[in-house]
Amino acid sequence: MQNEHVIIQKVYDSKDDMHAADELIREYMPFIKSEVFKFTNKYSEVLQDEHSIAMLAFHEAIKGYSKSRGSFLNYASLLIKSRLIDYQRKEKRHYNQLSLDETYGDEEDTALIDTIPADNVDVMQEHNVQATKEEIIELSNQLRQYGVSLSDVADNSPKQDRTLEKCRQAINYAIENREIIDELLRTKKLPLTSLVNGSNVDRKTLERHRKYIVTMLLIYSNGYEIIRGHLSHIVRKGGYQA
Amino acid sequence: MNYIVMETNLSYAVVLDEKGRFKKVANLNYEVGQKINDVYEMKEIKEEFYLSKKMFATLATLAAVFVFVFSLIFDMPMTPYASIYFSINPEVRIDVNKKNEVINLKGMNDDGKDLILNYNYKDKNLDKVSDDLIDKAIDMGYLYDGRTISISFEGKDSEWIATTKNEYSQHINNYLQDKVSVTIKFDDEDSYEIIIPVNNNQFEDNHYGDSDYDDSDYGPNNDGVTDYDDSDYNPNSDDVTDYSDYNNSNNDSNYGSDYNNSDYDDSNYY
Repeated sequence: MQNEHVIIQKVYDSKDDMHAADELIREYMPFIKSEVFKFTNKYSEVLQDEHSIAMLAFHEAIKGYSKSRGSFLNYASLLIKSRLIDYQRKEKRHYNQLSLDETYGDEEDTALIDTIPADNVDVMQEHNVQATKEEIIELSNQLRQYGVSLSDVADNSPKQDRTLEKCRQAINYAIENREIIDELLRTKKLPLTSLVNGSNVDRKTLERHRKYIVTMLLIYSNGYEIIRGHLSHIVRKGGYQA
Repeated sequence: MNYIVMETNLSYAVVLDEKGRFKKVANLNYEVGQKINDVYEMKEIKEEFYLSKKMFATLATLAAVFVFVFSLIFDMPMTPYASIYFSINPEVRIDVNKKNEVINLKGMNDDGKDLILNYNYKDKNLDKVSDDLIDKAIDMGYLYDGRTISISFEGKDSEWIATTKNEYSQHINNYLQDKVSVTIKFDDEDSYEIIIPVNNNQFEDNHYGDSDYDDSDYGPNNDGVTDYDDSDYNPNSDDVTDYSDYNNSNNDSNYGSDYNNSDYDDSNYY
């Protein structure tokens, strides 16, 4: 019982602190592994994806737990099971597809992926990933000056299409009127008033997604060619004139 | 849909989709900068409204108290408190609540069904419905002079029934007074009869003109009040002879002689 209290306290402390949440997940890794094993009868070392799903489910459990739901570990176990069921259903669609990690033929040590002849495409991809990574690191460093992390942005990102469209409208206005982005870069504050007046978007909507809008404006301020390229074709459809 | 992996953590990764949405997804050994086309999204669990047993008990108690208070205040207006069987030959049952509002009306036989056909009892009280039914019964030829109306009360609250019955019978009496002469019979434990009504004398005279009773009634009147009355009633009381008297008196224009002539009254009376 005392133990349960400790867990619950830790869960509540971790709700808004992803590092604490990761710490808690690390602490309960044996529990998570055993849940995966109970469900699949295989060790999670073999089933890396299932293990990842189970960790995600544990993270969801931390976020979604409240005392009214009873014991935390029971709740987490329930969520892990249901997420694993979801995942299996989803994977059934790819049932007839082989994993590249599968062993090939009689040779136990050779994975399927090793049989694909390596060519320049791989090298190009590797290079692209590296370049993208550098951009992203730069972006998250810049975001730190605004006191924002990418996880925060993910929490702050609009989920409904309608809200997304509204945010896009505001971002679009800022791109057309560079002085707003300039002011953001200079003061490290989003000039909400001029954005609201200029774009005709509800102030509440912009306030609620402030971190998201700041991030998007930074992406469109300068550089970040690869990220912009990733967004580009949607941006044109959405009316951006970058 | 393509995604760029933006951030990786132990239990999740942050990705950016082509529409510009940042999402938390399961981290299937991703690497920052990697492009992927399928993700397993983290679901947001909303704080759902959850009733604990304690809260449920509290709410249930509150609801019960509310229903109880409600029923006290409104006295369950749709529950029959008593039924009145109202029977001429058409027999109807009138269900009322405690406030005497009629909540249901039912024909107990074919004539009864016929009587209440197309009649709307809603928002009317017992007296009003009874009046209307009496009128209808008269119009439809069910109720006429000499008929009997049987009324019986049925209900648990005998005190209430006693009071209501008392008021009800008075009301029915008053209402029938100007209309028809019928017998009202309350048939329950202390069945008593009210015979209605014999007090409209003008009609009575016309029917029973020749009898001595009438004379005895009017004799005193003759003495007491105006002569006009006398001249009216004397001819009735006597067949032929009075006519001549009457004529004589007119001719003579002597009222005193009338007085003298009206011996018949006296002689009849004594």
